[in-house]
Amino acid sequence: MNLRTLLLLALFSLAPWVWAAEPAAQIDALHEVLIKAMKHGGTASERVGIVEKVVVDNFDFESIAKVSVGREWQKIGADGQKKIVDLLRQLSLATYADRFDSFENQKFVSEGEVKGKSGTVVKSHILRSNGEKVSLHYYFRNGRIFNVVADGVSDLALRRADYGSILRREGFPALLAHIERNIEELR
Amino acid sequence: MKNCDSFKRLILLPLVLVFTGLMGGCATLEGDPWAVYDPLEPTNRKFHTAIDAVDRRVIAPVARGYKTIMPDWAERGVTNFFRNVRRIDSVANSLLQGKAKNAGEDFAGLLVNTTLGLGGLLEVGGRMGLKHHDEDFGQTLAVWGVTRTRYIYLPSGPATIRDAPGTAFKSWIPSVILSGGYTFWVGAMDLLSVRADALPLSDARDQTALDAYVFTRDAWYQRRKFVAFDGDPPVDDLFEEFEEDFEAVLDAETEASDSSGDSSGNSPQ
Repeated sequence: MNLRTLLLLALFSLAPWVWAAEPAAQIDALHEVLIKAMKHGGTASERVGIVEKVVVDNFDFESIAKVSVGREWQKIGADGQKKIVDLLRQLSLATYADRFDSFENQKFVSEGEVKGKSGTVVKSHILRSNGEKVSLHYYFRNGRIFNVVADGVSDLALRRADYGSILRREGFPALLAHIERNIEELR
Repeated sequence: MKNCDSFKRLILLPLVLVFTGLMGGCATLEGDPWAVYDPLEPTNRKFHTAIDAVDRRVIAPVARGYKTIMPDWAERGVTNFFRNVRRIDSVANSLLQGKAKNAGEDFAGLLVNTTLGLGGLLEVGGRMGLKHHDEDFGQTLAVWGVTRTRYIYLPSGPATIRDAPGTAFKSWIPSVILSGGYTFWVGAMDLLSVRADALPLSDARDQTALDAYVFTRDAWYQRRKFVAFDGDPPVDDLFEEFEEDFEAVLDAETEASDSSGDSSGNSPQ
């Protein structure tokens, strides 16, 4: 292996970090697409089509799934892991399409980045037309979002508690069935 | 004489509630005052199921009707009015926590809303940049060192032994301030406006939660922490929490690969 090949390999291995946009820019792009989806209105599946790329590109669904199922992650095997990552991706898309369904002069206001011990937080808020403000903090790990905190309530921490309770009481297949039902209800 | 009675009620009831509350939940644990501590979960779940059933069948539908009938401006006026009356609680608790700036801001907001805002119907203070700090006695007790106390599910919703007296006091303020003016119908309006404001939250819970009890409890704890830190809790707390989760997953993977390695090593050649 010559020096040129080595350099190319090194560059490719660093690619996600080198080429990824800054977290604040990623959030601006996400917000822009959410505004577009709200202005479009239409059906839920149309809005899923609008937000899909930006959500899939910017969210780390594997990390979200790992925290959500905790130590069960190992026990559910590769198929189970693949299944829950896919369902969480679908759930996230359905939720965004459901929550951001109509435009009423909402504005997303960026408040900048805060560097934490093991990642970055991008702080922002939605400003509704009646002056109501809802804070939105996006937690990044390795360049992708893995947690959204709305007015102090962490989406991932809630998911971990909620899913953990179902896993303990009903098991993994029941958890998958619950999530599938959730997605159907949102569509 | 009537004022004197009101004053006694104002002072004595919270003291009694604090005393009974603290005695009831005597032991508090060291550690994060905003971490979930729910040793009474089986009992709490029963209360949650019963109270939730009443809410779903009676209170939430009536609140939905109230929201439909009331014009937006009137609904906002009612919410603003009771929120403004209860702001006195935030002023007092900001002072008890030594947050003079917050107390000043809340007091100025209360004053401006009561005068320029037509008795509190209009939220004028907010437009002037006077932030509502939402301090309460539960937060004050946390600052004073009452750390983790038991979670309890009350007819008014989630609470802990530490927070229950403050919650009771807060809901009781309008009846003291308005005295004879706080009739049954005014009280009903107060309750309905609070419930109507919470409808988007309970609807989101119903849409998302797989275990409504756990979802409500954990969301309440997180929200309490957010309010206690005046909307800016340390970001590293969540990072640390999740890093522990990632490590636990990694440990489980390592254990599994070790044990599969062991078993392959022990298998007959």
